[in-house]
Amino acid sequence: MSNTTSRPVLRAAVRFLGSMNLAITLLVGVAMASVVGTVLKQNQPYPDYLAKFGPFWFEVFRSLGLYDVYTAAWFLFALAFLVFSVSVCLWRNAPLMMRAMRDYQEGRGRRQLERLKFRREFVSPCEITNARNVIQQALRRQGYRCRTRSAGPRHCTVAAIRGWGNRLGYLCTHSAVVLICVGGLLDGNVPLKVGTLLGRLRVETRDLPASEVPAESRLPRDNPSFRASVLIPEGQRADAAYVNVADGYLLQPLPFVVALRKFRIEHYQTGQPKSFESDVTLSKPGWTAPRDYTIAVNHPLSVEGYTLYQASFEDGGSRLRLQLHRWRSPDVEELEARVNTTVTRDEDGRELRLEFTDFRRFNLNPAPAEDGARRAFIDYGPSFTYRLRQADGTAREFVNYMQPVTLQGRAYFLSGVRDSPADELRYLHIPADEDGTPDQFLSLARALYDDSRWARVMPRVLEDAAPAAARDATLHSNLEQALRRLLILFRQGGLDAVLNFVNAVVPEAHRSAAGEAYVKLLQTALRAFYDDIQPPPRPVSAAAEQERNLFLKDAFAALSVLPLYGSPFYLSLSGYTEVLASGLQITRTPGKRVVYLGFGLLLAGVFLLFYVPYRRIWACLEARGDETRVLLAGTALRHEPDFDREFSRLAMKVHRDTGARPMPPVATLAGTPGQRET
Amino acid sequence: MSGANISSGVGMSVAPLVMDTLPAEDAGAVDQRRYYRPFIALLWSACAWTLARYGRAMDGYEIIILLGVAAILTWLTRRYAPLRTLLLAVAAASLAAIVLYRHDLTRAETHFALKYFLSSGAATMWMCVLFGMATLAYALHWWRRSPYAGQLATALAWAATAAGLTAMMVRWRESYLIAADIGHIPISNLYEVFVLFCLITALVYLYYEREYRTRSLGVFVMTIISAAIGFLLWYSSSRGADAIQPLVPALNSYWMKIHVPANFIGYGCFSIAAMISVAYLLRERGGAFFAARLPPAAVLDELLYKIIALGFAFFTLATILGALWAAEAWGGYWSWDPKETWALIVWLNYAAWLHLRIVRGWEGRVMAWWALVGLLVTSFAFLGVNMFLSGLHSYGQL
Ligand code: HEM
Repeated sequence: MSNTTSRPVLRAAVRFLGSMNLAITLLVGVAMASVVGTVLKQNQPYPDYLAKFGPFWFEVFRSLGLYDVYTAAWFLFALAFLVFSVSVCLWRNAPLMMRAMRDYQEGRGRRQLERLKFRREFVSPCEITNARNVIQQALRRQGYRCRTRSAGPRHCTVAAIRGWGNRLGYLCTHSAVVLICVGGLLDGNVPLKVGTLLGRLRVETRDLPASEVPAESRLPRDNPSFRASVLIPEGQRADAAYVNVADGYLLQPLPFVVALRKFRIEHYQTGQPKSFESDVTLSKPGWTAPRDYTIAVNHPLSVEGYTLYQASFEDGGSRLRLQLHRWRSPDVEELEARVNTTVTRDEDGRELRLEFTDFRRFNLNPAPAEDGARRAFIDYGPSFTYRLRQADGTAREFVNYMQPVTLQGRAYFLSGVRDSPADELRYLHIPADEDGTPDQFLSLARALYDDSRWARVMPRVLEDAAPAAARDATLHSNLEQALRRLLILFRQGGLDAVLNFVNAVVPEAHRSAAGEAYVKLLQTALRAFYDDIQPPPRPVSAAAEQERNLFLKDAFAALSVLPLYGSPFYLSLSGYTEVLASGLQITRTPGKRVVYLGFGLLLAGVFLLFYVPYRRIWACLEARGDETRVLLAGTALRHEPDFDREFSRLAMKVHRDTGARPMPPVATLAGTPGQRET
Repeated sequence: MSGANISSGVGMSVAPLVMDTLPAEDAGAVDQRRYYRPFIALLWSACAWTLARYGRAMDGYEIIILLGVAAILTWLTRRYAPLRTLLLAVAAASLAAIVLYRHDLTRAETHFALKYFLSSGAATMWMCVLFGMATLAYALHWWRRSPYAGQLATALAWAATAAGLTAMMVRWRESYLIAADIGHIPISNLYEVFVLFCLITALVYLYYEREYRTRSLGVFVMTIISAAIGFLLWYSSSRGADAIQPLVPALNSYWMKIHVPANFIGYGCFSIAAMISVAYLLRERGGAFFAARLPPAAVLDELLYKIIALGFAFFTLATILGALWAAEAWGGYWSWDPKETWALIVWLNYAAWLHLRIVRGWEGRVMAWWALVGLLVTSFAFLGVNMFLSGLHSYGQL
């Protein structure tokens, strides 16, 4: 024991800290503690946790630091304890091991050697010096280093060691653990934690522009270690980044300005993204000229100790050219909007806000599987997302696609809708017309909402639906009344409203027949409206007729759910200028070198420990006249079976080369437990 | 604490430790030398030829990887003689496939040899079938103690490995035939790494089978390979997972080429260790039946240590490589991402195991149980994280 601690309490403390039981408890303990942070998603917005656990458990988990376990005080404490334990262990063992590397223990006597587990004894007819040479040679050939001590002309001991690299391995591995943890600590966000705890830093939770972030939420510009991120739209610049902490952020001013010239996404022929690249320009007061770089995934940029990574991207304010088609007005309104801005519209005296939130140029979706195995992707084309916010604050989200999407052979304009981000989108399928536009459907819908048109269309519907009624004026007017009511119902509540009405007024026995009749009547009416807006050419070809029927079927389906769509208009996209924003991560990691040194040592150490065996062999020689009595004994730290083989081979060789007599039977060893020695 | 030191069988005997069905005489030394020199000459000439022919088109990393692989194979085939035959067979089959494809992927459907043997799909199927047969043969060998079945089992396992390795090589080529920018090494998704897992596990096991001259563990190890094969078949038939997909940008890195194989050496070793533990526990508890059919407990114990040490060393390497890669791709060498964290958990677990074993000298039942539980932890890190947790490692989802 190398330590010279005098006080017994201290000595006991050191022994406890360096003890194997503690080490194993800590290893297993840290492993188990690490599980927590993988099961519970870390660093989510606090409201998400609150919604998930309720107020009581939310508070309990928060105080335990479970939302950011890996910087929680108790976790860091456990880690620190482990590091401390390894250090103590090193401090206690290192001197021993260093000494062991040099100490041949050639002074061991026969008595001691006879207690070792591996040993062989025989008498050789050659002289003691010859025997010694043979033994030394054999040992050296096996990779042993030897030292010989003679005790007079009749006695000598050869002591040999092999594998000091193994001891070095121990030193490497364990100091590496310390280095890695210390380096990691330098780069971690513990200083931030301490800063916020001491009140020097205040986490900002409001959504502010960088220039307005108050001073107590700003980190020093020369902060030696941080990990921040920033989103820069194309054509814009940033001189600060954001460090996320708990439910807010801190602002990290940068010593340079990053301007994003262009963000590029390249695609494989299958449509999946192949690369994300940002062309940036960095400028800094001290530089003579701005510098251009390209940052890509897996190809970060390092400048003056700062590293910039391609982390994410999103829309950076694309310009959209839109057309607003109201169900109740034939005029199409042209609209210009930018993503991340809001447009206000007055609809029937109520104010509606259109909040544009996203634009996507590509929408890859798995192609409907044809042979069930091969998966490919198809691009549904550009889409944009907006929220329609009512005066009372409620909002509905819409996702509209620019181009028609082909589903089961028919082309539709899709418009997804949902009330909250947690819901799935439900889609309105607007059938595309022959020109590949939604116009025909929109005209049809408008016709249905246009009361002035009804007078013209209604007689035609009645003629088609009930030719007999034409002769009876009262029947005719009754029927017209009924049809009018039906259409109003359909317009207000869709097919559901009609069916509910049927359920309410028709006796059960006749419901399905009545329902069918109503649907039929509605379809007839729809066809009449359709013929009114677009008189069919005569004669009609069979193919065109079928096409019309299919269109009307799709249109009927869409109109049946239109009231649920919940918007007084349909918004289509006629053009766009895409502007992307690139999410960059910017870091400064002074501990990286220390950690990497640790990695190197760890790797070297582990392989040394496992693959350089540490072994000792002694040969005790005793001259007996012309003969020499030889005792070979050895010990190995591990891999005893391997050592057994090596030792046997060596003994055989020595035995043969010294021309020894057949080996006398050796006392059985089963009763002698081997000693483990360092 | 269970078990003191190994006190039986060790000490004085010169005879090898385990005698199973393999010939007891030391054929190893002769075998070790067999056509090593010609093999190495061939290996390095192939390497030189590649450099001469394609060197201009290769970048620095690729040249380093090529030379590194040649150096590693030189060292490995010296220690592990049957690898020479395996590599020659795989090289021949892969070259044949490349020639037969003639730059046209559709020939996989039309050319007889490609369709039934050499296309990666067909070769993978052969691997599955052969591993299945090897499992049966090992079981038969174990049950009936039939030397013939044992030899057959080993041969089948080698054949399966050759088929699987060929499948990977050909798949690599096929990915380039789809399009030059889609081409990539086939270790990028769950389907591909399962094939890799089977191969590595088999190769590690076969090494120790030869080294320790025991085939009686084959049935245990092959069971876990068969389980992986079962998963592979289900995954490809029900999810179409065998289709070659282009790499997502985050995976498009040279680190992947070394990180993933290193990881799977770790996973493979830990799986074998768990199966040896099963054998150990059966031997301890199962009475004469198992005692007659399994190597002595001391040998199992030794093997367990060696394999966990090997796994631990490579797992350390893999985790470090992963950290270096993460530093390049995600902006930090350590992000406490679930996959990373689970790798750490696995690593700490086996570190604790090794300490108990080495410093405390624990052996026997407790350590066997621990290694068995270790497999659960390892499988969670390998599969569970992909299935249940989300994070930056979001590829390879089920
Ligand atoms: C993360 C932490 C640690 C790691 C990764 C680690 C790793 C290792 C490894 C791989 C070995 C070699 C085992 C073998 O040869 O099979 C080892 C041995 C050892 N470790 Fe640790 N260790 C850690 C913590 C500790 C702690 C905390 C202690 C002190 C209490 C400790 C004390 C030892 C000792 C005494 C040995 C035996 C060395 C010998 O004589 O060969 N280790 N360690």
